[in-house]
Amino acid sequence: MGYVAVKGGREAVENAGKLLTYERIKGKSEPLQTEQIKEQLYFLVDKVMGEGSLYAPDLAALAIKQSAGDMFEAAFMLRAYRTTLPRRGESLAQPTREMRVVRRISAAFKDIPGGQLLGATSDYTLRLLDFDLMDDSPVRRVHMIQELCKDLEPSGVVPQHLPDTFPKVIDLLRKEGLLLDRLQGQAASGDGKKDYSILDVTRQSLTFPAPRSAQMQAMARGETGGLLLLAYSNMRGYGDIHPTIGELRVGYLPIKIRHPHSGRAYTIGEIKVTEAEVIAKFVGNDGFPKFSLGYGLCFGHNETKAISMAVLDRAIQTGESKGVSGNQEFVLSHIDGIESMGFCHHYKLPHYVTFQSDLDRLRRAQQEAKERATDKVREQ
Amino acid sequence: MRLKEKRTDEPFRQLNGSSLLKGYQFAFIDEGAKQEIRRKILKAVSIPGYQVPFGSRELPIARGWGTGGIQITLSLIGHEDILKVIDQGCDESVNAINIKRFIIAVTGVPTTQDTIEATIIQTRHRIPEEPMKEGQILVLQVPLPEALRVVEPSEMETRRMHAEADYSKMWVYLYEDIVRFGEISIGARYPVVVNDRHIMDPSPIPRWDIPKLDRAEALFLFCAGREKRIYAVPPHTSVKPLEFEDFKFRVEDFKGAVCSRCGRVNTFLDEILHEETGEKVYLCSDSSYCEKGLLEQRRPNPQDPEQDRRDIHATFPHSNG
Amino acid sequence: MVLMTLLNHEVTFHVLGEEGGGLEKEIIERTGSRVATPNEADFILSLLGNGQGTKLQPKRGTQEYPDTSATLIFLVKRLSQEPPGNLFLSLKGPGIKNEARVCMDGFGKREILHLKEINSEYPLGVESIFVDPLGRLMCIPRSTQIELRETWDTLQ
Repeated sequence: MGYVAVKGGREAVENAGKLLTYERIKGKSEPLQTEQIKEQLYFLVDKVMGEGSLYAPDLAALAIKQSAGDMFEAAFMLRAYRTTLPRRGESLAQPTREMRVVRRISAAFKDIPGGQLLGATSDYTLRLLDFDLMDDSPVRRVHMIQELCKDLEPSGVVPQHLPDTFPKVIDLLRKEGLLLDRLQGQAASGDGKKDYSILDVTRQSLTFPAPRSAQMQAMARGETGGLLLLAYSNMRGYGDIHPTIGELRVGYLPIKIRHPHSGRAYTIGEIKVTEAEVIAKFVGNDGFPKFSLGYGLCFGHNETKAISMAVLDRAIQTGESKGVSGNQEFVLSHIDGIESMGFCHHYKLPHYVTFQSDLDRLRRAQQEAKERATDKVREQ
Repeated sequence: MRLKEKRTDEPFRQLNGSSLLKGYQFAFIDEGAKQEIRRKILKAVSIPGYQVPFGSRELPIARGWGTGGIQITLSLIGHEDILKVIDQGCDESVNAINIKRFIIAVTGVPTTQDTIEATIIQTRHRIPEEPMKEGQILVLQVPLPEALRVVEPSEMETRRMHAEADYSKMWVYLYEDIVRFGEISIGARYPVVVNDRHIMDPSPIPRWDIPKLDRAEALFLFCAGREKRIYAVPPHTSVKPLEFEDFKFRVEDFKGAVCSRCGRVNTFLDEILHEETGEKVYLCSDSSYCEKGLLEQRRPNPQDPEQDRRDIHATFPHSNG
Repeated sequence: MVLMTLLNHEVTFHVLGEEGGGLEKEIIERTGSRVATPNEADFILSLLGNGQGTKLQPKRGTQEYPDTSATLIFLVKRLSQEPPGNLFLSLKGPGIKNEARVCMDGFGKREILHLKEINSEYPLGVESIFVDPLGRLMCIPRSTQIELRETWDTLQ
């Protein structure tokens, strides 16, 4: 008798879950190990960690495996797990110039102090499918590594050892007085004083206008495709940001907390992050024009997200845009993948009671229309 | 007639068929979250019909699938409660069962299908037909908490409208429907005025159920998990659907159709196309009410309360998951 | 008990009518909450059953977010639905069937009038929780109309 069976709904739900698991494990291929996912699908792991809002590569790999590659589901699983973890404290604010860089580029200048460090990137690769990869093996991998390392020799140009940290490009712009004061975008509290407190969006309700700390958190947890869509709309013309990447970094940030006894800062580990600083067109504050800055930071190696975040950060600070990318309420209400995916899928739930109500309205309205038509005919 | 309490020792064993971590605290969400939700519920009850923002937590159930209702239930439920969960009026709906499984797994609280017996009823899209009494709480799942959203997409703007009681846009919207169609197009989610002050979205319940909100004995709590809002209608509070003097509020018209199972006429009916014959059949949406109706029909001695108790016990056996 | 149910590190409180701050410290320790001024605190605990007359200006919320107001907790000498008492109240509004009658001891007429004034611009306003030493509890939300009566008889 339809979707809502008189009895047996419980069984159906349980069996559906079992079938889902079966679909994933019924094949003849070797079971995926989470180590394999973590090592060989690391971009996916980074994306899921960012959207799951939990830096835990092993758990992200597990979620990817368990969800059979459904990235919305995987991020959702991480979020649900995150909810159960006790909050032990907060880390200290960490300047990113202390990042242990593995990639660092700037589009604003041809050359920068420390140099353009391309790192591992697909930017300049040709997107040609490599069919050799379909026939992979540990032996083949050893050969590949040997091939890759064959011609590597220290040349005279590149130093033997790279420095761990690099100066920030925007610091140079600031020194020259070309960049807006860094705290310009910070929301001021009612009495005009700058507000440095952090609104924790996982614990407090988000109301609008939202302070910048809430905005950045929401975007850091946002779904990459959603952020890209909104940023792209701005870049294409439904906006005015015209970004130039001042600096894009990928690297490892130390996580420091205050020691419970000594009170001193100490490092408990490091996480990989991507940071984008985008220079946008100049604004005239107090009659003296300067470049403005958009900032993006997210877990793992995810440049699409960091750049999009930075563009949206700038767009929201400006507020005006020909589209919606500068509308803080619009952006923050629609970029959470767990929320949007959940709501999208909820339409599959039974809605027959509300539909019955709509049917009732429509039938009456149709009757009205018929009566009006009949009245018209009679009048003629 | 209290059902015996039954505690589940290994909460998650049955949930996904896989061994998940044990050791979750009672009612899953942490104490801080519960406290915040309770504080917000108190404020919501103090300003009937007004939406209170809260820090909605993530749950293993997807957003849009009842996380708001679940958070309220988990913040209020205790070992002495008896829980009923329905979706579209039905206890056996896939969604209701899923939610029940989760709540039982993290609380071990007994459940029932009997509206009268339950202390907390979590529901999606229906209010039970049997009037609820003082001390009972109905927790309604809400997808979109803002009644004015249909005329205004911006939250900041609808906040202002509520603050200033500037509801003209809503009235114009209804008026335009009447002019265009001779009928208001809003079916479920029909806007109401609470305590003569705030326009409220009663959640996607049919218009049939709206009169049940007005000056009721029970407490109604509404929660949208994804949108992160809590609101409430306390007992003995006025709830009036928006209407015009010359265009009154109207509930759904079943044109005299009767439930083909229990024979009642005065319930909200599901219109069903028969699996085999394809003909239209009507059944009570409130499945437990339908069961009771069936019981009444079959009862040999219509005035025997003892028989009542035996029948109810047989129809609604103690069920936990 | 009330405080333990509702307070944690996410909200602030203020204690009126206590010198030395012993209770304050205990509240901080047991709930993790923080102290704030009476104008800003989310919860105001008044031990003497009076709100310091017109000096008390708790936050009443904003037009857009009236829920951000304070909750006042008053410790009174006696709460009851029948005499004796110094104060007789008739309460009507959401949550109350027709009318509720309350006798109170240890709360001033002036304070009731002040409370009415604080709540005179609905939906702005505060919630009040009254507790007596026997553990009887009464909550008056801002939506309640409060009427002072001279004697118990006028309520009958």
